[in-house]
Amino acid sequence: MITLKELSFSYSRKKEVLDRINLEVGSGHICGLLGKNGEGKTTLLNLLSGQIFPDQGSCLVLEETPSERNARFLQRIFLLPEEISMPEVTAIEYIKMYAPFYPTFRDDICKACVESFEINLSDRLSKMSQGQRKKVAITLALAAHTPLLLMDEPTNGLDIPSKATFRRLVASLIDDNQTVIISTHQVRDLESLIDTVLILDQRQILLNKTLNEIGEKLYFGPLLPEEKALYSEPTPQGTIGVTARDGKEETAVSLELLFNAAITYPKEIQRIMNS
Amino acid sequence: MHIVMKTDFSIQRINLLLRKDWIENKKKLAYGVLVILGVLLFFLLSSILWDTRFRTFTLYVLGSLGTFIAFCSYVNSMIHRPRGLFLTLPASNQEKFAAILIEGIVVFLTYQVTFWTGTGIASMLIHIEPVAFKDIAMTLQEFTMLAFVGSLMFLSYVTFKKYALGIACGGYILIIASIIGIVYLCINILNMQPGMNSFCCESSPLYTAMYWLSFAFTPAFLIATLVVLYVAYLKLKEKELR
Repeated sequence: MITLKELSFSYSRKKEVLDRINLEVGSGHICGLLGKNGEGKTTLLNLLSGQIFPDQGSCLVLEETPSERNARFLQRIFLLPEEISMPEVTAIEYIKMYAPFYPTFRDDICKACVESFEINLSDRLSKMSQGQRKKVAITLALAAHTPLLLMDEPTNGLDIPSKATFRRLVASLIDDNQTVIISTHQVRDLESLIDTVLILDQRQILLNKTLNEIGEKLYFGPLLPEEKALYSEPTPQGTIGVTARDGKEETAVSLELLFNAAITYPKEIQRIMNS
Repeated sequence: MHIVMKTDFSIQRINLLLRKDWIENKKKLAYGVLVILGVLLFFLLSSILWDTRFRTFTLYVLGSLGTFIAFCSYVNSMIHRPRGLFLTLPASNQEKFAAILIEGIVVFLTYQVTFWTGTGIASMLIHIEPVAFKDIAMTLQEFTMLAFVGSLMFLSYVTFKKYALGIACGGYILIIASIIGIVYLCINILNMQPGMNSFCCESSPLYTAMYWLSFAFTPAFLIATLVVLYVAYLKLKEKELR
């Protein structure tokens, strides 16, 4: 589905964003792309969608070179940007404008999203709040039902109930033939949604593992006071953190703890995960 | 209506692009027509006191220029908009470029219809002589030259996110300066002086080249226009969201 080899990208000579990264993503995954602000999450999504071209290395997405931007490739991907400038039309006009471009567009998914997000299709986009506009954009993105769906900070601007609705919709409407990459720095929004974690740090892909693989190697949970951890933080119930599993019981992966551990001790995390 | 096609040039996808842009921009086009009519009305009323034909002609030229720049700005905002969906819209670069050119023709025709209808109606109401078609009718030579000038401006708006108009004007100045420079050099090379033997001058290879080039004026500008449009297409193809 996605193969990046030795890919580098920089906006200028002084600002290198990605440095010879390698990445393989198969089909049928929902990946969480995590990283600090400015680490290159949006840049990576723009590279995958052919909106920017790599300086070095190769990039293959759906067996095509994204930078060629041919119609067949563009019909099979959908990039939901973090912020979208929307025309002064109604929500239904907006969806009808773009839907015919996507051969995989599904009316039933569109209807389900409209109902779940409680979108009034006759409302003009210019009169909607940012959150409401985001819901319309998410509806189009999910209904396009493309084999590859790239979402850049999709939950930004959504209220708490809408974030839950978003998670529910993605979990129920994405099928096994689709791959979804969701970029966010709000890791809690992806809990119970993703099956693969991609962490970008220091211009590199620091981690690209499934939750099962992570759960097999790392322990997330309460720690003894004297216990050495990769990352820990105090809570009212005691200290919680991440350690190598080393025979401990398997625990659910805490994305927030994992992310903090990964950016604090990147080499140690890589060593444990690759052992 | 869903379209799955393996080719990179589909009339149906161009139709979809045009349909999308029509839904998105029909109001802007209507406002544009109203602005043209408003300006026409204002100037036609005020021109009763002055030379009507001259002012209407000037207005036509300025209106054409304004409409063209407005269209180029629209193309610029569509291509360079960082939060738009233009680059990832499922259509090939050729289809997107073709749709832009068709929209340019639509805007041109809309201006012509609005201008001629507006001046026609206004002249009937206030009894003034509108600009005659023969006043603005161009020779093929003039048309190709104008097309070349326009294509350069279009290229500037496709290529540069900011200051496209200024860069285009700078380009024109550079071209004019180059032509003047070449003519100046030619005169110096031929060493043309008053009373000089014309046979000596006319038998030179440079003179012969210039003589034949004057015959090829129209196709030369036509080819140059097509080359500039092709470069604009390549620029669209290479466009990145940097």
